[in-house]
Amino acid sequence: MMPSINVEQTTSDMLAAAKLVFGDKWPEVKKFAESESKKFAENMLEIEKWKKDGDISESEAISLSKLHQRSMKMVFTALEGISLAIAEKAINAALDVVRSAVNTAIGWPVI
Amino acid sequence: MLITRNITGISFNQIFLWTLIALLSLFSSGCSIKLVADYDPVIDKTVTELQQSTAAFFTKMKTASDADRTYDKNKAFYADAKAVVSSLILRSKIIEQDLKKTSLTDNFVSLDKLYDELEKEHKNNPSKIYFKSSEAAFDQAFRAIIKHMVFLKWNKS
Repeated sequence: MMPSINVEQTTSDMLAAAKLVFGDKWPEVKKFAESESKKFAENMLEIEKWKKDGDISESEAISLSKLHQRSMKMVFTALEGISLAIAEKAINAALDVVRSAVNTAIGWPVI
Repeated sequence: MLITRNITGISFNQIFLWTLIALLSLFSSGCSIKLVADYDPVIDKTVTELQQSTAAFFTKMKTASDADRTYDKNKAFYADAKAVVSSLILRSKIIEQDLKKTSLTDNFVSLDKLYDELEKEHKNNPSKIYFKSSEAAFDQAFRAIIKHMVFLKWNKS
């Protein structure tokens, strides 16, 4: 007799496991992205003001602009990596659920 | 709700289950899905040390006299920092070599370019304001890398 597996329950458990990972970490990522974007905007405003007031040279203004744009790009690149790390954890949490369900239904560790 | 049909004695449920097992075995190979690099404590420690030496450099540039702030008197900092970044790029390339996205390596390459840009402008004897603002850019860059490392560590916990 082939053992049975409750597909609906397993699917629901998989989604719940994945959601838990996302739900726990996503607000932290969002806060980080917002805070860094705000800092970038403030820094660019400062450069504009300093240049207008003659506090920095054109060469300095261009260089600072390049530095801040690159560091902001680094934030987005990090966010890409962080999102993948969260996705990996969520997928593996969901896989653990289905792995456990399948192995239990069969009676020995198949996957 | 699954519809159970008997086709030569095999139910749809059975076919579904064995397909699921086959797919999971194929994709997970008994372990787990890998989208990001493993956490590397050596990279983490090296980044922290580089951040500290860079912060010390900016403190010096913001407080030193004009004579002590010249590029010639401080060029050793760039050689040292770029040597460290080079080792970080090498190490991150190894841990990300089989991945589609190489975010960590990309950011170390960007960090290298930040030092290049700072060094280029340093040769023009920039003001203290320049160093103050460039420090903010480096702080942001290090925050991005360190945050990324924190998540890689969490991912493997």
